[in-house]
Amino acid sequence: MYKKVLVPIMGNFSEDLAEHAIDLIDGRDVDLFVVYVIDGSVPFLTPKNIKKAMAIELKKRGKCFLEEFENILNLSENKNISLEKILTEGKPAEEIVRIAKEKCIDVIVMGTGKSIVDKHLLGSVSDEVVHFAPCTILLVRTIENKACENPNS
Amino acid sequence: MLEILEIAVLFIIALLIVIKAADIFVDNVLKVGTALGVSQVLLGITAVAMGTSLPEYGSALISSLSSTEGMGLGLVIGSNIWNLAGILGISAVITGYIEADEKFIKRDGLMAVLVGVILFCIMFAVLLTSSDIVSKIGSVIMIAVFFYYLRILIKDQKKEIREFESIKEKTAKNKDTIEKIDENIPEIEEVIDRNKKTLDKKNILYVILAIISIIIGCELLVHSTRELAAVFAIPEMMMGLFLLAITTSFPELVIAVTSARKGLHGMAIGSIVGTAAFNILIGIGIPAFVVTMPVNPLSLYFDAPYMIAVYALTIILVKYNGMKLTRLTGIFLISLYILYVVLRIFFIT
Repeated sequence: MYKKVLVPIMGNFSEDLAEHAIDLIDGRDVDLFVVYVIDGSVPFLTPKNIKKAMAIELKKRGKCFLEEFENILNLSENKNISLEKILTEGKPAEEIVRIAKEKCIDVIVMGTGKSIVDKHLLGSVSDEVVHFAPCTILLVRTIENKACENPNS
Repeated sequence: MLEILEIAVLFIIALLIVIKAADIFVDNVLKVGTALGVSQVLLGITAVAMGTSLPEYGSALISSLSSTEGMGLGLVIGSNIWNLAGILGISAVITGYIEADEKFIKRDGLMAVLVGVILFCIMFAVLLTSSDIVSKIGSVIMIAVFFYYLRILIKDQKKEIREFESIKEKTAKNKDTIEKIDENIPEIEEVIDRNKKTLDKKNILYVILAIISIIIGCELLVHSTRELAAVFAIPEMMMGLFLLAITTSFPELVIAVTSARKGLHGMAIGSIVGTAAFNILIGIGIPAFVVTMPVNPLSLYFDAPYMIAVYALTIILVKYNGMKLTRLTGIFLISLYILYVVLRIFFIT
């Protein structure tokens, strides 16, 4: 059913995302696109050199996170997965939606789970993607739900 | 009313000029420095650490040259308290947490405390003797400490570059596996490029124009601050402590919050703590050589100790919170700043 899977990563919870993606793929032959978006936007009056330093640092981190995700996927064991790593710059939600459209993605697997306070203060990429994505989305909850750990409770 | 509005507009325009001119200055100094073969490491460190503080340095120097009330000293101390308690606190509250590394505690944090103590001792000696010689000796000590700190930073930076290069060699075989990379962003190796580039006269012109703009902007900033102090009958020292300190730290606020939001915690904390020592060593050290440091007893007995206490408390909070500044500790830091403002305005005047 799902032949093209897109996994946007931000460095945290890569293992959770990979685990859910592999479970969803369920041994089928798929093209898996993993994307890290360098958010290069800065507020007015940010010094030019600092903006550049931030972009360089984010690019360096993005490469590391993509390599890390590849290692987690363990492609030698999961030979059914054809992986493409994408490092791009822009607004995260817009870039994810653009790539999903360009690559004709069937499903996006991404993390969600900010607290209400964080959502208000930092915004939520997954919220935006949910509204504009051209495909199905699997939102991986990254907040532990301890209440459901014990079925008897 | 119209007069106040005019002064406020002048203040904002002057602030924008100074911040923008400082940015242009740093950008072009880097290019000129590279062309002249100055170490990229040295340029990088000074540009990042001092670039955002130029508005403070300029305003502190100009107010020290023209004020007897210690506006310049107040500006630097007030700015440091605001940077650490206010900006770092706000950043932690917005982003949820800010991670710090060992370097924060062992190098920058301790250096900030040490520099604070050195400043306190020099202020005490100057107040006791009112001597120009003591002020000059203090200035020389601060500038010497500045070069010592700069040396440590350069050494660490060189070590980081060496480590980066060895990691790069090890991972070189994996480099082609990323299918699509945005080429607009330079690689780090381009930034640490050691090749000399040709000297462009345009960059020198921009440096000169930026310096002139910083001087004019700071002059206007200090002038409008004085006017506002006169209109509202507030001591100049207080205006330096709060109005100038907070407004000239605007670039630090933007950098700390933005980098923390992007997960660049090292940059967020480094831009604040790393510049704390620089602010004192340069922002007070250089003016103290030109004119006798105007020490206000309240600055000595309350502001400086409060600043040192805020430094020490921040280090302790980070160390005993798993090397993190959490949202809760951020709220605590902001409360420390509010407490300082309340005490300084209503009780210790």
